[in-house]
Amino acid sequence: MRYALFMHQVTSHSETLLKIYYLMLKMRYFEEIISEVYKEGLIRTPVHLGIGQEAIAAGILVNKSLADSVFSHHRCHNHFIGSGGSLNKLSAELFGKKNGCSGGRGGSVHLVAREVGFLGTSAILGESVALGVGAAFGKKTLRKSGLTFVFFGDAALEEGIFWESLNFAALHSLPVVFVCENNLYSTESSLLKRLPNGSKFSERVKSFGVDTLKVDGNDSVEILDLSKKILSYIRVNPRPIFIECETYRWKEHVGPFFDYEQKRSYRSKDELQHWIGRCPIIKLEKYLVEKDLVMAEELVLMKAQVESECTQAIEFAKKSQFPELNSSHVNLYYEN
Amino acid sequence: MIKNLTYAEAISNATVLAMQKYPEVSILGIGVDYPSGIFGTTSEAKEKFGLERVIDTPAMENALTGIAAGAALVGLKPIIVHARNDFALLALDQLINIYSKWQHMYDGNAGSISVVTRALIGRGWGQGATHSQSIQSILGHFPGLRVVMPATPLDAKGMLLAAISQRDPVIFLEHRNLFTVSENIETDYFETPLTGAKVLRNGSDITIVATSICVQESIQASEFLENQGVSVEVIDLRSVQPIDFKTIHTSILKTKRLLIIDTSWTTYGISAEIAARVTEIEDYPLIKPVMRLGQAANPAPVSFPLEQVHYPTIEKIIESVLILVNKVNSQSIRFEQISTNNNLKNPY
Repeated sequence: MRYALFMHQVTSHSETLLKIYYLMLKMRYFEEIISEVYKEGLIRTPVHLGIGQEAIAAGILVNKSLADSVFSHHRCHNHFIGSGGSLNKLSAELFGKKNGCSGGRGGSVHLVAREVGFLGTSAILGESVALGVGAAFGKKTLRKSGLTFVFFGDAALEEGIFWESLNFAALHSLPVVFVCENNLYSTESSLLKRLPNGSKFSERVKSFGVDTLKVDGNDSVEILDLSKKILSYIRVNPRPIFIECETYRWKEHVGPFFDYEQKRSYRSKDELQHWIGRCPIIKLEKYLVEKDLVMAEELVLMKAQVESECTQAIEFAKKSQFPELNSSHVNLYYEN
Repeated sequence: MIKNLTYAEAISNATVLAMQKYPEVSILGIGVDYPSGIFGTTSEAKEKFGLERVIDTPAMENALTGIAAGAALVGLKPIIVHARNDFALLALDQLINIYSKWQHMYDGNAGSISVVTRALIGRGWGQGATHSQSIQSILGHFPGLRVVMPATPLDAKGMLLAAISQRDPVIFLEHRNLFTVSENIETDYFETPLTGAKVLRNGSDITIVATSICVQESIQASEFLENQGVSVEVIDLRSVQPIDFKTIHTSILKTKRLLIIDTSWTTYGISAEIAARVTEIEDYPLIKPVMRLGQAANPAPVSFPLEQVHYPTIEKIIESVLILVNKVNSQSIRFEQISTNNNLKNPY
C-alpha cells in the first residue's frame, strides 16, 4: 500500500500530499472521537480542538526532519500528531492517566513528545513563542542543525512577549518558523474587535525585519508548495520566517460542542457552514482524486486504518491507570 | 590558591570557572558585555569568552526568560542576569508558569530548564520604590523553584557553581551592598551546597535567622551584644526555597528564642513562613513569641534620611534581641552608628 511509504522518507510531491492527507485524517478522526468521549464524561480537562485547522499542522510539519523542534500552544493536538507523537500517549494524557505523554499531569494544553522533537506547549498566550525562539537560539549557539516551528493563534500577536521574541529572532537570524493559525476569533472575540482597522499582521512582522507569507490555511497544496520552498531556503540561509494561515475552528473555543449547540451567537451558523464547506480534508481529497493521485480503495483503507488507530488509542487510555493518589509532588524538581 | 576576594569577584571567578568547565554556559542580559560588566561580575567572562557567550540583550525580560528556557531544553545552560531583581517582575509569567512547573506538568518528560537567574537586590542611594525590592517571597511561594540568597563571598561562588552544575532552575538573589564584602576563598573550582542553612556564629541565648545582607548586619549586632553579655547564634539561611528547618530547629532547642530578619517586607514574606512553621509545630520550645524584622510597611523612600529609617538597622537588631532576652533598658545602652550601608556612594 502506498501509505506504508509514510514510514520512509517521502520525496515525491504526490506522496507528500498523500502523507498530508493521512495526517489530516488522523487529526480529524482523533479530535472527533475525543469530542464523543468527552461528552461521555471520560475526559475531564479542558480541550481546545483543532477541527477545521488540520491543513496547517499537516502541510507544514510534513516537512519536519528529525533535527527540527516544534512548540505549540493550547490548541496543540494537531501539531502533536503532525510531529509524529503517539496517539496512545496523547489519548491517555487527555484521560489524566499516568502513561499519558505528561504523566496525566499536563492535560491537553501541556503535551510533549521529545522523541520526535515536539518539545512543549503552553496554555498562556505567547509563552511557547519565546520557548521556540530560545530553542533556535540554543541550537545555533551549540551548532546543532534544524529548524524550530512555533505554532500559535492570531491573539498571540496581542501579547508583548510575541514581539520581544520576534525581535530577538530577527536580531540573531534564528531559523524559526512562526506559524500563525489565524482563525479570526480569540475565544469569542472577533479579530475585528482586536486589530485596528487597516493594520495587517504581515506589515507589523515585516517592520521587525522578518519576511512573511500568507496562505489559505485550508489549502494543503498551497501550504505544501510555499512551505517546502521557504523551509528549504532557510535551512541553508538561517533566518526567521512568519507564515500566516487563514483558517477557522469549527467547534467552540474550548470543549467538544459547536457554538450553536451551546447557544452562542458570536459566530453565525452561516459562517460556520461556509467554512465547513471549505473543509481542508475534503478539499485535498477532491484534489487527489481529480489529479488521479490516489485510488478510491486507498482512501477507504486509509480511513479504516486511521479509525482503527484512534479507536485503539481510546481503548488504551480507558485501560490505563490514573497516577498514584499522593504523587503530585513527585516530579517537582529534576534533581530529586 | 587562597585569595581575598570580594563577593563580586567571587561571582566573576565562579562564572569564568563554570564557562571553562561547561562550554554550554552562556550569559544573557542587559549590559552583561559592558566593560563594567554588572558591577564587575561578567566583565572577566566577556574578556575570556567573547561576545558569542556573553550576550547583551534588548530589554525583554519576559521573553528572555522564555528564550533561556527554550535554549536549556536543547542543551544550553544559560545564566540570565538582571541588574535589579525588580526587573525580573516582568518575567513572572515565565518564571512562575513555565520554570517552576515544567517538571511537574510534564512529569519529567520534557527535559529540564537548567537556567540560573542572577538578580541583584538594591538598597540606598535613593534607588527608591522600584529599584530596591527583593522578590524571594513571590518566587518561593510557587512550588518548583529553587531560590537562594548567598550572604558571603564563599557562598556567592560556591552556590553559583552548584546552581550551574545541576539541572533545576535557580533564582540567585545577590545583594548589591554585599558586593564589596570580602573574605579569603579558594580560587579553584568548588561548590557549596545549594540547600541547607549554616550557623555562622554560635550562641546560646537567642537564634537569629537572617537572609543575605541581614546576615552581615546580624553578625555585627551580635559582636556588640557579646559585650553586653548576650550570646547570639546567627543562622545564614542561604536557601529560602527550600528552607532548612532542621538547622533552625536544632538552634531553637538550645536558645528558645527566635528573631528573623529578611531583606524584604515581613508581610507574606520569608520571615512569615518561618514564624508560621515554628509555631504550628509543637516541637519548637519557644519561650518568647517570634520577632520579625523587615522593611517598613511602605515602598522604599528616596530621600536619604528617610532611607535610613526604612530598613532594620543594626541598632534595631540589637534592640530586638534585647527585648527578647528581657534586657531592655534603652537609656543605659549607648552605641555608635555601625551601619554598613552608608558607604554606598554610587550604586551603578
